[in-house]
Amino acid sequence: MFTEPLVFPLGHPMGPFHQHRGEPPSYWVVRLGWDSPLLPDQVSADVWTLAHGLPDLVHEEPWTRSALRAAAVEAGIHDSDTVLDTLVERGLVVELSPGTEEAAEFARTHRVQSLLLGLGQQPERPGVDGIGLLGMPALAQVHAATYEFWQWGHLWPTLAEAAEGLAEMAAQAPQHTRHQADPAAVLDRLFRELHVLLCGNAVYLDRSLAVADAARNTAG
Amino acid sequence: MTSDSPPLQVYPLGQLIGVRAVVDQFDVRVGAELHSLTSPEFGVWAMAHGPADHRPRPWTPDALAGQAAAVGLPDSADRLARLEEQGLVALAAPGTASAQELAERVRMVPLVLGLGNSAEAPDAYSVGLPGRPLAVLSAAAYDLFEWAHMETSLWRACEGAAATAARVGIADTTATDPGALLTSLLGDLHRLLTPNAVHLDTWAVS
Repeated sequence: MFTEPLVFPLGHPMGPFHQHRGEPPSYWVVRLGWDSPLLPDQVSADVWTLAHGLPDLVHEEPWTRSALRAAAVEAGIHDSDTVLDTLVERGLVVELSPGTEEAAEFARTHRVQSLLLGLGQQPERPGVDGIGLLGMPALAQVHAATYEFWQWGHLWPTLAEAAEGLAEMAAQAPQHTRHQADPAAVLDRLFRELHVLLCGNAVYLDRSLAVADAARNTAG
Repeated sequence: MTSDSPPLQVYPLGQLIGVRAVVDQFDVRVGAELHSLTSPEFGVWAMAHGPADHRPRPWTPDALAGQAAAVGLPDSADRLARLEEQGLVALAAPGTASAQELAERVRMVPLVLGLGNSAEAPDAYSVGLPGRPLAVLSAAAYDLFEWAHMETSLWRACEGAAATAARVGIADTTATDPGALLTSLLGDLHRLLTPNAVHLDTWAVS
């Protein structure tokens, strides 16, 4: 059965850059590894942002090219596929099916970086933890395993090592399932739940430092 | 020390990663270590981020003690000393050896996004969340917000930024001298720490 890949944005957004007073932005900036690729227009910036997912939809719907396309049409963007193709070519978005060799290779060469603060358990939602800033509603509401990934995942050099480390941590708990202690299953789950964190800007994906440094040395 | 010496200021280390107010537990992560604080301890750590009234001034232990007293938080000096021992707070005077020592052992890591500049004020850069700017920065400080966490220490980040500024021919010595860059950043850092736009951390991902 064909399963449509998930779309993931890469990089830490740095916003629009206005070169001249009173004029529209010349471009939008993303920081990715040691590079700062530029998004040339509003549509590219919007499609890249949509690749993070929409908070109202990501809990229910795998965030695929089709899901993004539907959200883009809602936002008045009718050629998101062309824009997405360019973003994929430029390495600013990746399309991955969890469980494939491509997903495993991506996990070996990329890392996650956490943003925001942990707000703890959400009122009237037992088992659900909030991530956000103090004094405002949580921007991501996640279950324990995803919260743990947000808390600790960025301390490992790559997503693959984070999955191994989190599986190891789970294995030490007296009550754990086989899946919780299996790095491949943990990685699959991370990919499937990542948009819940991405859409609230609770994390972003980046090149691993080893990959970033290698790209920098090649360029330099 | 002469009366002109820059005063020691209070800098918090770590990221709040869990609030369990019902059991009086506030979890702060520094590097790979988790510290569980009680409400009064957390109160002092939170105050180390900067003045509650957002009026920029040197954020000294005395200034923090004044704010703690104003809200009825007792023993703030002792609690601050304990937080310093735990590595959750550092004291440093911008422009002195203590500032460089701090910068050599911490990284400055964003907690929010860069929001870019605006058509009205192209020289001013915001950081925050979409539709919710939390702090406005100069181009040099925004550059450090974007890149500093890629380096293994804040000092290395200042050295890197200064080298880049020199390479592209910027004449302003504040931008090309890592020490001057660090002094400027630390002198103004509470404006970024208070709204949790950045945090100081010790972990270097390799």
